[in-house]
Amino acid sequence: MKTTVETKTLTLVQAITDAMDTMLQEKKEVILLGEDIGKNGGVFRATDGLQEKYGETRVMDTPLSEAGFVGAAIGMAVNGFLPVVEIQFLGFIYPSYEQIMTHASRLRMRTMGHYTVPMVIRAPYGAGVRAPEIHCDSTEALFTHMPGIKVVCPSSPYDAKGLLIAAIEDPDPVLFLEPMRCYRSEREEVPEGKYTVEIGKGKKVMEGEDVTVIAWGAMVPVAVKAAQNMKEKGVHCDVIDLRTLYPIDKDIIAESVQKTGRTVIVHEAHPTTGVGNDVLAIINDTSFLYQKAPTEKVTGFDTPVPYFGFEDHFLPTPKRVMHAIEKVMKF
Amino acid sequence: MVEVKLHDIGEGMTEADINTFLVNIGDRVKADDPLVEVQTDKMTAEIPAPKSGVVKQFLVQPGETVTVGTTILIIEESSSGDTHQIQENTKFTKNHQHQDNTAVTNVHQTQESTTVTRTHQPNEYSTVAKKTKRILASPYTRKIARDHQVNIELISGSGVAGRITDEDVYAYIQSLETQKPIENIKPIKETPPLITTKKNTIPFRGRRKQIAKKMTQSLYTIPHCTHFEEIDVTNLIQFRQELKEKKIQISATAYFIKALSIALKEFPIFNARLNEDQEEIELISEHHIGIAVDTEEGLIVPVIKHAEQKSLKQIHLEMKELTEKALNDQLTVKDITGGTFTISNVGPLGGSLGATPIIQHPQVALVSFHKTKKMPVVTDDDQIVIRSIMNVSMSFDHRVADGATAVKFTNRLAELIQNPKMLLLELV
Amino acid sequence: MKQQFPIQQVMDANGNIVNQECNHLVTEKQIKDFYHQMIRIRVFDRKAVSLQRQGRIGTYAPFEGQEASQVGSALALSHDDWMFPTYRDHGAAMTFGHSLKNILLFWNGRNEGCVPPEGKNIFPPGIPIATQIPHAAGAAYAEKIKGTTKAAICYFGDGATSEGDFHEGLNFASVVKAPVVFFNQNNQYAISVPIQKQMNSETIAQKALAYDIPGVRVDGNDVLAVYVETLKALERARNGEGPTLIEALTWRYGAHTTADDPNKYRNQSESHERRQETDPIIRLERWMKNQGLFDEKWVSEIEQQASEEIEKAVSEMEQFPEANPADIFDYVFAEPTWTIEQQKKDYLQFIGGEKS
Repeated sequence: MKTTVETKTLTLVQAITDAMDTMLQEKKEVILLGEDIGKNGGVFRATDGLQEKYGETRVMDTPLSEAGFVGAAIGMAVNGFLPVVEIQFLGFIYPSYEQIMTHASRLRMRTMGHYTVPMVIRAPYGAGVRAPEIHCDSTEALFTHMPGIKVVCPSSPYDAKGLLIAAIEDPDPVLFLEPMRCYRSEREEVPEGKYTVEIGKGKKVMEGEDVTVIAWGAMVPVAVKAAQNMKEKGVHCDVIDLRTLYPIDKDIIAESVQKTGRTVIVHEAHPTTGVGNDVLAIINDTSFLYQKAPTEKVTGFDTPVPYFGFEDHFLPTPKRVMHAIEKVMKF
Repeated sequence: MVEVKLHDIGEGMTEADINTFLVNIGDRVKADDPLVEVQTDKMTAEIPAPKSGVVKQFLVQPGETVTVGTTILIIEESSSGDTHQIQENTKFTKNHQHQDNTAVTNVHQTQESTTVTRTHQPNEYSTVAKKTKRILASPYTRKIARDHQVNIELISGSGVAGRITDEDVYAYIQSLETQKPIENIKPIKETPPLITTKKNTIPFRGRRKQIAKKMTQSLYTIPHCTHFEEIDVTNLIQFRQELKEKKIQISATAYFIKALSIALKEFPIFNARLNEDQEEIELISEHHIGIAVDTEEGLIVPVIKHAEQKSLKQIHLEMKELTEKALNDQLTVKDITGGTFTISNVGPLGGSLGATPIIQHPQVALVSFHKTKKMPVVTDDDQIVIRSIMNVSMSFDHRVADGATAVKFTNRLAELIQNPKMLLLELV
Repeated sequence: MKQQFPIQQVMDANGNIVNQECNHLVTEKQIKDFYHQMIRIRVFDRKAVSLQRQGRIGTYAPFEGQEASQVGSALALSHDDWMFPTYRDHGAAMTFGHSLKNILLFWNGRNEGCVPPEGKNIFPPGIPIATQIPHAAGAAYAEKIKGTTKAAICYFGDGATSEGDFHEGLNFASVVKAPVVFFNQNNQYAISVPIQKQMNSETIAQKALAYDIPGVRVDGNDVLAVYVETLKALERARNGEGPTLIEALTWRYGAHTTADDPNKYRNQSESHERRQETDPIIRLERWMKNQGLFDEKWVSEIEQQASEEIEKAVSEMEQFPEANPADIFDYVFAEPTWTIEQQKKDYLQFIGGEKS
């Protein structure tokens, strides 16, 4: 039987709204909490129109209190709800860090599965939109290091919707990182209604045999741009969008690195203890003998994300990525 | 002239709708006076005038959606201070470009690609031969190749799953060196695999071939060269006794095989085959050791595969199994083919002190372990002690190897058997 | 609670003096000084919004409507006191003596913007809500230990009282009797969330009860009342009586920042009405008019003066040298670690066009 799937053209932020809309409709347990998500529709308009549609109980403007509402969402999750919490910027998540680290991520283990925390924490992250200081953090590694929480980071509208629905349906806590730089930069056909993209699976966004370029979130377009430029020079890159940062899709990395033997990892976070190092560990574990050159990392620096007057310097650019690709090619 | 542009006024917005113009063409406006109302998905906002002047031209229409960076309207400044204003405007535009750079935009990228194209020429990447086969090699092995300026992709691997080992690289380097001074021929071709996987080869050309010719000429009726050695196995017997007390049984032959494999690693020329047609001596990294077993039907030679990768215990168990299969006539073709070197342990048969064993064609050498006898031995400090001495004979193809090499090889073998604990040094 | 914490006022919205205790302040010179300062920061605020719309600075947080709270409180400070502003308090910072150029640089994404003028104790604007409250408690406590009479003022909004840091900071300060004034500008909206959804308490001042410290509710659009109550609180602080919580009731006319649109979440006609009725600047004009002291020429003079000062700062900001990428690396540690040294070297080499 042939079924037709209706699609619509959406930006990434609209796809996220669509995912929440879909799930609010699908499951009465889904409840949104956050600062300014109601009438204002969120500082990035990610919840635009949802309070109007579903009411103030299901789309709640919380007090300005990250520890408070993340903690409360844990309580609600334990007691039958599926909370989707919005943190306005990842840089403002830290008051709730204790709640996530000591409670959300380990309640299942502490109670041997009796209490579980099926919640999603959404947080826009990253630099590149000339936002004020501390609005630009990319501290995903603080959370991938945290046992008991999955970390997801889409870069395209289609993946954003599918992954957010998967995250809402996931029985465990998921940190859902939204690259604010990609919120409105691209549009894509997104299916109507419910579908999921599996958590823990990366995606090949470009095919090539010479170099594997691994990125996520806002760095995917940067990696793709660099790869396109290199293609003109005869170097063909496999570009992987990891999409999930915990657990990382090791198979897609191994498959590609064993083919190319050369890898460039791109992330905007600080290099020390960055997720790039976990990617490197996977390459070491799975593909040691295939390596033709030392893996290059193109990252931010071990400095706080600077004010936006400096962010062009801090953020990896296609040019920096190309430089790294050339370096591994010439090794 | 001042171009009034739409900027990213909303942290990541890319476009806006033009709602209404708040001025008319010809209006005189002051700096910071509102000019036009725009609507983004985040807000409605008024865009003010950057400079005082007269509204000259609208470049977009109400209702239109324009992207960040678009010029919305033009203001013409009052005649006084024109130069200053133009300067300001350039600066302003620059500021705007700076802003655009934060996003992945076309302008930005084009600039980048031209820069890179200018600085780097194609074809300077290390992969000269593109789309080559996948190579398995440790970074250290790759370094050896790099240090010797050889392309590792031209070397075939003899290790597990075709992994290139350090020895493969050295053998390849050696092969290139052998070949270089005599004949200036391009790198050797791979020989079709004779056994299981691709092998390393040494060109059987040049000096080596000259030697071979001579050898064959002078010794063609006796291509074999055999030489004898005495090996003190007292320590080995004692060691086996110790293990026996711990209920561990390892046959002497297993030790011989292990010792042999270690010696072969150091003298790969004896684990080889000569292919005259291809003008190559093929070095084989796998040590598939055939064991000559005497059965009712006659001599049969089951093969222990990959002795170089196996522990003594594994070798012992496999040998036992193969010997049993041989005696019960259960060996398969697989069990008896593929050998790269052969041993004959004639000791248990109460055999001779020496013999001239026949090399298994097309292998290069064969070693026979003969009967062990207790013999008085004069020690270094002139004491006479009783030691267990075993005779060993080795036959080899004189076209391939020289006598001196064979002596070095058997010396090494003897050393390893005389001091069984030295095997420990070779543990990987 | 509203009875227990009455709104303190010196001058009502019509420009009438309603509290005769402060008559010493109600002089032409004093009123004109307050007026001048408020005009100055309002001109700055409007210019900054305009600059943002023109793409000449980044996201900006306007404070128009809150001038009396910021000017009145900042003028009450001694020159060497500590100030802990939020991102919306650069009006107070300007009044206290911060550099306009630096404030503009801050909004244009430059670290230089956080550097106070020599001799001024001004903390960088608190960006994550309420995080500066414990800092102020600590800095003030340090002055107490050192035995000085310096005090600290800490600004924060109504939404900040929901954060844990608010409780922890006030509790700490009250325990050690730190010489600090917790100056809350209750503009009644945390971005889009009205105070009724923010807290169940009727007032913010009443929260002082929990720490057993003075809690004062003041008309935040009455610059005289703000000045007087802040001064009193600072005196108590310097006398070793510990912290005070001041709630200044006010209103922001515009958006939370230039990145949002208040029409989305509230009826802006209320802002319009408040502008007519309770505006802090118009209030002083009414007093001056009542006294026959209002001089339109003088007003346009001070407006012009403010405008020139600000244009000069804008021009200094725009002519400021380009961001030096070395700055990213040089101020992370006193002595850079090898990691940062290496990253700096590699990056500078990269942008220098050299290949490493």
